[in-house]
Amino acid sequence: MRTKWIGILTMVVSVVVITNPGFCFTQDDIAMHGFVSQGYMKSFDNNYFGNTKEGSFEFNEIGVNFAVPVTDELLFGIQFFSRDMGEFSNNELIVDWASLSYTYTDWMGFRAGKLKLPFGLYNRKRDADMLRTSIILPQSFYQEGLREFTVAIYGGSLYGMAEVGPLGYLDYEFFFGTLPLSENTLYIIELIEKFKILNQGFESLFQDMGSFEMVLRHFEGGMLVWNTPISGLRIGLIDMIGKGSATSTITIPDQTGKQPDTVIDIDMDIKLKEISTLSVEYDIGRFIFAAEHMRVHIGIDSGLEIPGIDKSAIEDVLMIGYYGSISCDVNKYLSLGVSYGEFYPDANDQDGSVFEDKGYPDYFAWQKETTVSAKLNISDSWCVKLETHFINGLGQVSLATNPKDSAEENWIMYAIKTSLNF
Amino acid sequence: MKIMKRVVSYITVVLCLYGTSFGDVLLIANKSVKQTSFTKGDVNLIFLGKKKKWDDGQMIKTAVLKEGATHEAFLNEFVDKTPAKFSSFWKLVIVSGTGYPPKSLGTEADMIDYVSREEGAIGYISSSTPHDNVNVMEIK
Repeated sequence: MRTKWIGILTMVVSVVVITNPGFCFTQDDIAMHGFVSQGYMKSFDNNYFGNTKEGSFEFNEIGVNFAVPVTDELLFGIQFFSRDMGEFSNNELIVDWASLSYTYTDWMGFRAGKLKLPFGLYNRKRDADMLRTSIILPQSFYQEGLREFTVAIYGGSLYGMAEVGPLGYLDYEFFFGTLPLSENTLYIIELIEKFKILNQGFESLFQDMGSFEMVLRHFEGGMLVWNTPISGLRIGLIDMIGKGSATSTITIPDQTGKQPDTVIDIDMDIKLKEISTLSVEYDIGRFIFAAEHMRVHIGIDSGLEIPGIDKSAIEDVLMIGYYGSISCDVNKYLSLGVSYGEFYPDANDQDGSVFEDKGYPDYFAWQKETTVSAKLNISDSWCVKLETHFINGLGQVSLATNPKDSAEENWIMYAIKTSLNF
Repeated sequence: MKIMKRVVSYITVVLCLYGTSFGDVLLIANKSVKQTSFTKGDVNLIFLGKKKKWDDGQMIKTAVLKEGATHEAFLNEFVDKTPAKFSSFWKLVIVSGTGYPPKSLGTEADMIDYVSREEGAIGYISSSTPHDNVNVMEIK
């Protein structure tokens, strides 16, 4: 599917260029930019991403993008991207986005291809480290475990801007498409870990589990940002829904030892019932104040009918998260930032009683995180950042890499990172 | 009393200098642009890439200076952003694939050359820079 989309885009651009004899772009018209960053993370007591307790250099991004106006109204752009963040991504080179945008009027344009999704105010720049003071975006909102649900779709969007007189102006975008997810997406892996906790004694179900293939074939949503008449104050709303399927196999071991194990095909219906965000940002002078709230509601009909198992934790999951942040450009060379956020992986178990019932500490049900950041701008294109995370709870880190016997409720993570952009 | 007078004089001088720097920026457009005046709000929308077409449907092509006093005065007066925040804003647009950045030019002579050549172009210079072959836009 990915190759098909990029192929279609390339074909359309070629057709437009060939059928417009007057058209030619020079090297000056091609806007090329890029960024490279490398960081180091070290956590104490628990793992943040991957094996950060041991210290990890698996923390980098590299991206190169090109944009060229094919005609006055038609813009083609593409970004190649590779990243590593602990257990995520592992420097696989991907087309991060590739699109053709057609501007009809200020209030209506159309974009098609692989599109970065708006999710909150900062999702579209989450990989461009140099554009923010913090090293890691607040994880209570920009969850790495949910990244695949919110980063990009293959499809189209209608977008535009409308002035609303003395009330400022609105930015809006409506998008639709397909959201393919990688094999064994982290969300599924963590669901299985939660399932094992709730169904102790059934862990062997997943010993020989096949790989999970997951796709959200119908995905749509909208974004509305009100840029208020107060300069720098904007309020954003986003809502997305989707539905699709996931397939895999599990093995039920034979208890008698006389029969072969039973292999069951799992064909699950997945409903993305809600991904919604509410955001406020006030950008004034040297300061940026921001606060965002999100809800993610995912329903899975697993079709599993095994007597005695509790499927509630995987079949209907409502997550909520929110944060507030302040960043300040102290001067040309130094920016400082602080944020506080809370995340609840199961909004119906915010006090952790479900975990406690299963012999787990209650603090697996939340994560409360205070982050202090400093960014040193060595030049316009080179920065170095330092960051400390003071964390309570383990609600948003991997259950797989943080077994309960070695978990600590209060812990710390340090990060340092340098970024270049050109 | 003398101290008060000195303070008032000092503040007056500072305010005059501050005001002068704003007044020194001229918005210039290509002669193909029929519009001759607009509001500060329009300028903000144009240079943030929100307003993409002139009233007659012609595409707007924005140009900015890379740095300098004229650039800072323009951003301060019309866009309400520091040069660093303006640069970050456009880097975001670029890395998210949602727009095409303004033409970035090194000198005011380059700016006049670009704006006079490109249909639909708009830019800015200091008022002391000679500016033939371009329209000067009026701010309402």
